[in-house]
Amino acid sequence: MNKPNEGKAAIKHIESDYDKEIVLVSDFSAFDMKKAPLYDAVILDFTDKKGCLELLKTIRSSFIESIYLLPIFVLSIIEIKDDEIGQLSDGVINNIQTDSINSFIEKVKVKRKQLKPFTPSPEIDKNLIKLLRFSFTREKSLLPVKDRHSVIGYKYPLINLALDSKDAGAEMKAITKAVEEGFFSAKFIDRMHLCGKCYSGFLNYKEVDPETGDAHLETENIIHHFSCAYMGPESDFVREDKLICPKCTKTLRHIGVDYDKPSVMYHSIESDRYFQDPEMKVECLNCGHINDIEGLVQYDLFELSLTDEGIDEAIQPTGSQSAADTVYSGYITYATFGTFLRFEIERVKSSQKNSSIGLLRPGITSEIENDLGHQYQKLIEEISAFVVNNTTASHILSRSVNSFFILMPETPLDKCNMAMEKMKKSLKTLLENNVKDHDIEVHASVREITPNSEYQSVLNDLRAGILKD
Amino acid sequence: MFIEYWETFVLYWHDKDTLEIIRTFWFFFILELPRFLLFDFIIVVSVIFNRKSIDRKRQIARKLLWAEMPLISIIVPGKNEGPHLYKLVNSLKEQTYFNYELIVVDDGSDDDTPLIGRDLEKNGMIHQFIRNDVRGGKASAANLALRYTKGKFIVHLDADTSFDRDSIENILLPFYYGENIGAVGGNIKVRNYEDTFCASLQAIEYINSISMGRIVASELGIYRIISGAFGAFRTDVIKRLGGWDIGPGLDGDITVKFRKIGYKIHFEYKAIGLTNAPTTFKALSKQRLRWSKSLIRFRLKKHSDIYLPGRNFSILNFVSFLENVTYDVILNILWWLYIIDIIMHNSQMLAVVIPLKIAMYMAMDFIQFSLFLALSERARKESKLYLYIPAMVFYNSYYMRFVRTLAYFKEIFFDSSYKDPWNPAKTSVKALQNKL
Ligand SMILES: [Zn+2]
Ligand SMILES: [Zn+2]
Repeated sequence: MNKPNEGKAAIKHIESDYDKEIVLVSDFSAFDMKKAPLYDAVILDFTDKKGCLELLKTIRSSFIESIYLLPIFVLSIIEIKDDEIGQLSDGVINNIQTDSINSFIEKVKVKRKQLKPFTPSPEIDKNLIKLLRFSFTREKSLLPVKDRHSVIGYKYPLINLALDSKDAGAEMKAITKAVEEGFFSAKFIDRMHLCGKCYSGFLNYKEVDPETGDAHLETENIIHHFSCAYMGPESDFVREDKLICPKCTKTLRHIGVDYDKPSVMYHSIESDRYFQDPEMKVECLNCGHINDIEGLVQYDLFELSLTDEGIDEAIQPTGSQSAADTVYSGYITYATFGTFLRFEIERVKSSQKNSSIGLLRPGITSEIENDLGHQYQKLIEEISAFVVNNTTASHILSRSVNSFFILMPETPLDKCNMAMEKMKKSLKTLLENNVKDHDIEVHASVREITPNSEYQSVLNDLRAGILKD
Repeated sequence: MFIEYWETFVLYWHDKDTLEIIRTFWFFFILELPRFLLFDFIIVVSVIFNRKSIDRKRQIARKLLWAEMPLISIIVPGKNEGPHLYKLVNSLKEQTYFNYELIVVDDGSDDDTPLIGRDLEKNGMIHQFIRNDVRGGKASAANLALRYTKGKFIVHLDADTSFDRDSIENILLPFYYGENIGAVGGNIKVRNYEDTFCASLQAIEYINSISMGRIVASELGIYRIISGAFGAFRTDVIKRLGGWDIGPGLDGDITVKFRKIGYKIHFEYKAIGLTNAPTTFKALSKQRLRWSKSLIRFRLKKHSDIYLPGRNFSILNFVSFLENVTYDVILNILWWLYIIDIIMHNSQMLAVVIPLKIAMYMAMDFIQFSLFLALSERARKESKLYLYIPAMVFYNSYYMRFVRTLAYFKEIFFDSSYKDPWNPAKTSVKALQNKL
């Protein structure tokens, strides 16, 4: 414990009914990062806003699991509008209720226990694993927040911590990759238009003279005086507060009756050019590049939620161990499975003999999972064993939490479908016998692998099929 | 039967002396022959004889033009002319005179014209494309183009006109060899003369009456119509005049305004523009009704001050108008009397007199056409039209006279040109109120 200050301690232990080390930090300079793993939860006093955010960022930017996964709450009696605090912390509280803090600590602990240790290697993207693990332990999706210091104008706070904030491309690449690999599902939030050269979102849209690129333009209405057929810009007509025709000197009185305004003319002040169709240019305020509208990069912002594969990857990163295929006996990892599937498609192309693929998923909700407690793991092991026993050695299996992928080489679709239906029925009986309190549905879907198949879309189709089953 | 008829025919000639023949065909001998054939003959012969000196003058003018090489502004107002624009742009690219800016005004088109025009503008083939969402009429569209011109001369074109390679150069030359010339009319010919019978007849008409008539009028100093399809104007003068006014056609009005302030108008028969003539008699009648109405409106109504002695009185303008009105309006009415006269006095001999009358016109058309071919740059091609010459007498004497009479009647008594959809209603209302 640090030295208590005179009235208010810099770091104060919070008493509770639970055997937990929960501390309230008011003086952020007194916080010792090395001691962070000793705490069960940290509460940051928001009185010093800047310091609070700084410390929050420092903790979350660590790559040490016991530090960056630490439950952190922000204490503030006033409402906090900063979305970044919301993303990086585990909640803003206005009083200290140890009950709810404790249950959060417990929840994170259960999740953390599932995480398998791994030794860092060049194949493992530790930043990605951190995102997955953070998201997994909190059951929290990653959201972009508005940020005028970020080049794009938005940032994903947690992702951004590890990256050079000036390099917008790095963040975009990291997210695209994680979504493409199937670890996150992406829900559209907003669409950005960025500089084609540096990805900056600080853009100045302007109409320019298409010939000279000049932005110093004025627009004028064209006026048509009916009775004398004079037609010219409004300025030709303006005499003090009246409109007087320069050709016939009559006063224009009534639009639609003695004159009208059929169009608008642009005038480029510098070059004294007249034209009607200015060009839209977008100047980047970051790098100075002048973009065409078509040259802007369209970038979508998403809410990123973990998928089953993402959870799998969080628990056991691909390539983190030599015996990757023994995560569950008889199963290979999802990533390896993907590779097998790609090989299979290539093989089908040359052999012209189609294969099939099936997906089996017992509908175990997180509610059921909680109810089952430690029994859940046992049940899953049992289902795993069931699937292995009901398939042959030529079938390739992969498991992602509750999803069981079965690749059946050189198997026609109808045969695969029959096998899957049979398994579905038997599994249903097995679940009925093992879980008395819940009625657990079993879903299955199958797809054919043809020479035209594309591996990612086969897997997506399969998952979509499950939802319809 | 035929022999019998031939006998009466020969007898008719035998019985009559020259005076009697002239008495019977007075209209032809006294009024038409001198105006349409004699003048033509004199002028063409003089042009041919003076060719050398004219060529020399033109040579000098050409040198002056190229020494100065002024920027000229080609303006093309029109509605739904998009389909012609690409061809026009290419026709202009081939011109020997290249220092021009091209301004196209889209007068409220409801087809793809705005897209085509913008595209050509983006690619630098049109220098300025101005689009008006609401139609204002051709005069206002031309005036808008005029407002943004920077050239020393304005060349006004219709989008569907195409040109010989030296047409623009030729239309500019008179400004450099003539004195006090304010505007120059180009020589319009019929491009689609092989399309239909109707178009072929118009091709002859353009050559015999229109081009020929204009060469003669220009030589006499009474030329007064610059075709809207191809004309050149001094920018300073036309801007001073406030450009074009509303009317049933632009052609006959602007020139009068030039003449009134003392400028000469010249017809340049070597500045050739080809245009498509109406291919049906229905379309042709509509066009000619409009032209004839504009004659009444401009010659008898709007510019009636030409006939009055006053500050701006000019004997040439007076003669020009008088000639125009006499030959096109008064004689047109007189002709009906002539027909009645022939029927009344030769009721027994009509079978002879009518064919005779027709034969005389045919002969005149034939000579006139031959005279013109002597001047034409594409005589060989145009000689094909000889085939159609026998039909011209019916075209000119009966069809055109009928159309004209109808137009004059409608315009004099009903101000019918103010209802012509050629102009938008909003402007026609104003034109009628102000007697423009
Ligand atoms: Zn006016
Ligand atoms: Zn940039």
